[in-house]
Amino acid sequence: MALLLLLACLFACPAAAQATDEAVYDSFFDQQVFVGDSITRHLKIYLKEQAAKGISVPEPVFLTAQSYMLYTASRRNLLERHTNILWRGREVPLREAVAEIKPGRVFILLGVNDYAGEDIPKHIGYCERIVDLLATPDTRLYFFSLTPVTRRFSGSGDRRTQWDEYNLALEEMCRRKGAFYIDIATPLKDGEGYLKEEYCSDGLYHLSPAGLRVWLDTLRDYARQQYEQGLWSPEKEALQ
Amino acid sequence: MTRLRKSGLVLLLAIIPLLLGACAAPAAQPDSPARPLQETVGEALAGYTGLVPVELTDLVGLTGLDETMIGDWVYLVSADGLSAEEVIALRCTEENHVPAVKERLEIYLEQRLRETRNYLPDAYACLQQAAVQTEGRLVLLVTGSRAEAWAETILAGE
Repeated sequence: MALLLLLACLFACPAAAQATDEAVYDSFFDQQVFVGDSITRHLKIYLKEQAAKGISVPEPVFLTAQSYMLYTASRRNLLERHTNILWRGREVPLREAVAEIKPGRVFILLGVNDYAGEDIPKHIGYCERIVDLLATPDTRLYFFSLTPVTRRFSGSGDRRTQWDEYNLALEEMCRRKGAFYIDIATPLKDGEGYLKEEYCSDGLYHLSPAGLRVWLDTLRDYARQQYEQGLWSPEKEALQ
Repeated sequence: MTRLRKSGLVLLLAIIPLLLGACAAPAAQPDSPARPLQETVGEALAGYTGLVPVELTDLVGLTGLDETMIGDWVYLVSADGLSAEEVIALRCTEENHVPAVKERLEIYLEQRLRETRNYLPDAYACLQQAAVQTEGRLVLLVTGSRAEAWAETILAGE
């Protein structure tokens, strides 16, 4: 009987510790803002689905719209013939919704609807404008790499390579402008640099639940690194 | 008056209140509580599993809906993130809140149309067929290929 209890503890304790760690890392994203298009919208739905099952997950505020573009997000004013963010019943420029929410962190995944890799300087310029519009001493910006695409979407123009080059330029822009870069592309790739088939839901670039789970794990890993490097902790944040 | 007559009169006087009571209108019954929307919607969906529940606060953030106007709600979106299937059922606390809540859902529908036009043609086509409906205190938006059947069941249950 004592042996059974000991074995139960050996299995339960690490699992409980992991659950606690995950909750700590998830809090890095709680009530912060995630900006994106249909890919990020799907992350939102995935997290809601996990929460509905009683699984603890991050709870950010999502500012997303299907077909949302990097270009639109970079504008100071509303673009009437584009898809905009809907916030409190009004279409608003991104900066207005972020200014109202006042998050400490804004995470951005945009560019696939712009085909950003096809004109890197232009789209990196849009990212710079977004930094200029949104970053404040109290609000830090985090840019996700563009997620990889399938061979089918990559096509003859080799978007796979364009996307990779864009991501390198995005990382450099973040260093230069004081923003942060989070690589979510690498863990989603297969051996040839395309989006792994099991991580794709539509044969193009939208993520499957397995792919979204990889994204979630990458987020937690990033938060863990911040925590272990002493750059962030929930306790420090609570005192601010 | 004979003793018999007197007794009969006393007996009659005694039973008259009883007779009047039996003929009186039944006491007013309190309103039966409305059936929880979760149940009605669950019945309408008939085991369909492709929807994910989302909190009302999300809808508030999107549409500026006044939460205090809502007594019961169900908000479900498509699990795959791309198809048009959604159910938003909001039972208002008072009937005079219905127009304001309806307006918010119409704003939501317009945004969904903007998002999907030239991007997700199948979803856009479904959304074009959708409209916000009301029945009593219920405000309902159902979209997707099964919208008509689902809406009919939900409205019938109200």
